[in-house]
Amino acid sequence: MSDAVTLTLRTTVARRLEAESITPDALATLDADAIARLPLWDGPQPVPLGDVFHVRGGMSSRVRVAGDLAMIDAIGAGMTTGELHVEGPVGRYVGTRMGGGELHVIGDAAYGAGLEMTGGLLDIAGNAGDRLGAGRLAAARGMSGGEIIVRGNAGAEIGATMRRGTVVVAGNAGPRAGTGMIAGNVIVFGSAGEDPGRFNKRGTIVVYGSVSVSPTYRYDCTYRPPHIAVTLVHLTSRRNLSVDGDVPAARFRRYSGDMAELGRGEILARSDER
Amino acid sequence: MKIRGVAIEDTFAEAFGMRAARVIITARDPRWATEAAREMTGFATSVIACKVEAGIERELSPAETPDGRPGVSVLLFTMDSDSLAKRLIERIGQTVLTCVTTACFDGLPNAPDRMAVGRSLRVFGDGFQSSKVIGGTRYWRIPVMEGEFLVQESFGRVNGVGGGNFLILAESDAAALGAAEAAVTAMRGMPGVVLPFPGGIVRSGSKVGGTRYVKMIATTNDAFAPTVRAVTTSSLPNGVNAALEIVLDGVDVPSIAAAMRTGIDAACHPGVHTISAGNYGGKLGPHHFHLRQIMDGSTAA
Repeated sequence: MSDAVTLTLRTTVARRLEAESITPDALATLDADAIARLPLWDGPQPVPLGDVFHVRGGMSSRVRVAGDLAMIDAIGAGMTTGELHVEGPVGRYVGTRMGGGELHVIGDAAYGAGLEMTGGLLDIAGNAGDRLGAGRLAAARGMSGGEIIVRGNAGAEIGATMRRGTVVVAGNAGPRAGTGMIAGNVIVFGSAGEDPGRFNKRGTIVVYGSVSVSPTYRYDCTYRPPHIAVTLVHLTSRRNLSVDGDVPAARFRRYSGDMAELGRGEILARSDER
Repeated sequence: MKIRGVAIEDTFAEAFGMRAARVIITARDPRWATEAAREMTGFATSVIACKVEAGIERELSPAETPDGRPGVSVLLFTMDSDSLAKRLIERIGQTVLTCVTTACFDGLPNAPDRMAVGRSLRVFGDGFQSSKVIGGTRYWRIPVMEGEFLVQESFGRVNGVGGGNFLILAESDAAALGAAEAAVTAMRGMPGVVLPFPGGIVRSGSKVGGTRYVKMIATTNDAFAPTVRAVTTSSLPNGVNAALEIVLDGVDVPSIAAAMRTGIDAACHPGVHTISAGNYGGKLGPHHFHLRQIMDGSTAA
């Protein structure tokens, strides 16, 4: 048993590899030799993990993965416990279907981070790609629990078809945030791209920067939603997210929608009105 | 034992197990949080007739509350679990939901025993309510004319202690009141304890049942009532012309013991003859707060 398992990339990876085996759940029960024998997948071909990573330590639910991992997909997929720290840019589907534990990415994450996540914390220090916290294309539902924090910007269709949970983007979000949301929260501290909340049933989309609200939403009022204050305390105190000083006092224009759906969702767009 | 010339009687306060909840009320400013807290703790002196005992525990700074606004912490006590949930639903529904700018949160988040308070209150929203899970905790957003009332879905319930007390026996009513006020001032804001009676002071200490009116649950504590000293079995020493009681409810024994120590010490004023305590011979309540042990520090506090 060691304090942590450390996987350090041996060399640049030229072909996409799937690394669903890299989870604290799996590594917590294995020594370094057994970890090195775990399979990564190059398409249908297994590749021993030890051929790609230098392995140090074993039998620990604290895992550190370091290197340029942009070609390595699905790290932390399905993890349910422990801590996974990814140091470097990471490929697609990081933390997909994760149900618990904490996954910290010290870098950018590509397409589908936190896809269909059900619990735990996915914290991305850099930028995130498209369909963050969403579902697979054509899937009935996306993220259904847990929390995703992106400290940079995020791509298109974040939180698409999400059912529960919270996606927070400190920067800007791409187009169609919260498309097909069933419920849950998407919070964007920057600006949101075009057409957010299309086909939103009960979800909440909060935007502090600029946002263009679809005509299928109807304006309710301008107010201070009390749950936003609780959310800010949570994000600043427990997630160490820094916000501008005027953020806590912000008022929001509330729009109910999407009227093409149930109309029970909302877009809360920060107001300049005092 | 004497403290600054005041005798500490060799007796004990007898207290009971109760069920306790802590409610945190926040608002735009301390004034409105306090308004709601005062309403919530009104008519909540004794379970005998009020069904609940409650008081303001302390004011909370914005850094101590779940929504970063000024707040007030309230403790409520009942004799059984079911009635605690009912009282919270009634009192939050009538005194916090109705009060401008407020939100309402559980102050015992680690208590495993939960009461579905916000979950019950949500139906005031008549189907327009919605919930949010923030940091693993569910809150209900109930639309109101001002905007929204936010209330936590569940509140914690713990075993508390009710009926901690001490009696201030003084040479005059003015001396008794001055000492009692000093005790209350010293105890205000101490964690885990509330003083549910008006101003924290009781003048109508009671005994269990009645001698003449046998169906009464409680009647006047004639042993400490100076005007009937000559016609009853009095416990008042010579020279005592007024007695006042301080009653404390708390979330645990050490909180009450600590507050009693602080309060008794503050009550040892000129004009006070003796500090005593109310008990039933140790037959009714499992918690015994021996005054001398509390004051010499030999009991947990």
